[in-house]
Amino acid sequence: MLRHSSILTYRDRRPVNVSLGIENLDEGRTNVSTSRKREESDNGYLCPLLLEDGGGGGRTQQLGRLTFCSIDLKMFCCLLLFLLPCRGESAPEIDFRSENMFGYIWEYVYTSFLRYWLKWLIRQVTGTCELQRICSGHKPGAARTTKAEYSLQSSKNKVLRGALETTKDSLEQCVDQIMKVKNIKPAKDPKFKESLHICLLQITGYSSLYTSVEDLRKEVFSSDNPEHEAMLLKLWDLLMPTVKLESRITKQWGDIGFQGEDPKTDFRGMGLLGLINLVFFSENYTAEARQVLSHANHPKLGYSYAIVGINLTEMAYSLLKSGALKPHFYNTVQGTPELQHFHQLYCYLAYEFDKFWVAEEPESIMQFNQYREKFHNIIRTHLQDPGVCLTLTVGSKN
Amino acid sequence: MGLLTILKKMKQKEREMRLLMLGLDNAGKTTILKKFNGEDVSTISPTLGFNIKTLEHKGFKLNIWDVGGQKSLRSYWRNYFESTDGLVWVVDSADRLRLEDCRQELSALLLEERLAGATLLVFANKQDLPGALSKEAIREALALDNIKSHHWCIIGCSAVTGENLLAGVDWLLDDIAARIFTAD
Repeated sequence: MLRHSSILTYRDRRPVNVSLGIENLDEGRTNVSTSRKREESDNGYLCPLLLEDGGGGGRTQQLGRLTFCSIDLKMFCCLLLFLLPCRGESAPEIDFRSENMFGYIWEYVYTSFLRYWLKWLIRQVTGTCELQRICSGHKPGAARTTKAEYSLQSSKNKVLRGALETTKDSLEQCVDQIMKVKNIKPAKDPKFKESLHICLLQITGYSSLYTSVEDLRKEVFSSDNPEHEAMLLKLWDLLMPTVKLESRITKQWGDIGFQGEDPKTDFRGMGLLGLINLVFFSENYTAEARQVLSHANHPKLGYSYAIVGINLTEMAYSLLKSGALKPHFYNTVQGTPELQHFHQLYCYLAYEFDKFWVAEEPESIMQFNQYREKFHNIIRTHLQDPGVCLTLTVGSKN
Repeated sequence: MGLLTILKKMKQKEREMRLLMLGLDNAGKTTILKKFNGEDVSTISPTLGFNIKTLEHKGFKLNIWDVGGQKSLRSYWRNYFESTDGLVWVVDSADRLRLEDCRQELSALLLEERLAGATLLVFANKQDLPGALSKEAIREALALDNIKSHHWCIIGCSAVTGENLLAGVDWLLDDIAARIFTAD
């Protein structure tokens, strides 16, 4: 009975994930395993995005129905499990719906019971717990860390779930605790401790990276702040070494793709983050940045260099926020991802977007949003690949 | 069924409106559009090209075009004039230095033949900012009272808080509807 109630409390925090499963089934009719993949990579962030997407009433209704189901007893679901196939046969017109329902029930039964029984069984046979199997069976990087993250997230043990919110400094203790709870002997599996530690550094580092990025984004560019001003002037000097800026407020800013005479209003929603990214690219990949700028100043295929840069910062930011960048950072940083890694990703986007734009030869800058969307989709496709590394490889100074 | 569908479609088409939103850069056009659509307005970056959103409001289907306002894009504005029912001119009420620029651009637009039939709504945006000019001051600065060629109205609003946005759009819809859907 005790075990039963713990399952129910665990289920109570599931409706969000479950709704994602159905979401996929409704739209693309993808199978359950794909929906789980998405759930893993996008974490909890997807839910507000989905609701924002403007599905409106229909989705809320679904959510309501699912919550109802998930609170209900497992008996109810098991009953449906037996009833639905019969209904499908006798009334083919509702086949589509019951198929959905079946997928959902399967997902529910799997995550609530089968997964645990299966895990228990394998543990008895092999003598290793799931985390050990993940760490030894997968190469370091997204393949391993994503699986470990999912395993920890869906654990019923507070210590394991809590590991996802631990601060960097207490992570070592946390790993020790996990090994104690899971009864893992360091002598038997010497590599495990280090592997799990790295996974946890990556997982918790991703959230803290988002926090630091968000702080920079929220910092508004201010002309009264000498540091901000110095950064802006540095950007000019890096990109236009041979031309002197006539004054702080000048039409010359248009030459590096700002909108008007004073760039300060162009940073807008991206705040200081937009400027830092622009400066980082120009400073660490000076030759590439100038090459991109020269493309941007092309009379026919040109675009506003700085404004496009700020738009790409927005793209990087929203990818980070949605959790879509997890595989990239898990593959490229074997530890805590830092701000500079985010700036590096921006450099990749800025360089690749330029290549993409030049190759596509758009009719005019008015088509920017369509091409931006197309580029965004390409990047998202890359990020679906577990081996993804969005790194700019040309002659970096670093 | 066939005839009914056709009639329904015609009816729907009839109740469609095309709104064109223009103004200098950093006036708040995209913010207005996103706020109106219930989206997050804290992470907007400057518009290159245009955004288009289709919304339902008061039984009308609104196609709202938000075109970037930076100087180099203004020459493209004319590509979006065709069959515009309503022109929304957005002004940054706190940007005193560029009010003259703003007046010139607006008066040039009003001479456009293809915008001759459009109703003009002026949003005196950013009323939430401490240094913002009142809508009366904007009305004077843009010499709106001299406009005889278009139905017009000025409304003080804040895209960030959403204040008065609906009031403006409601006026615009009523005016357009009175002009083109009088048969209803």
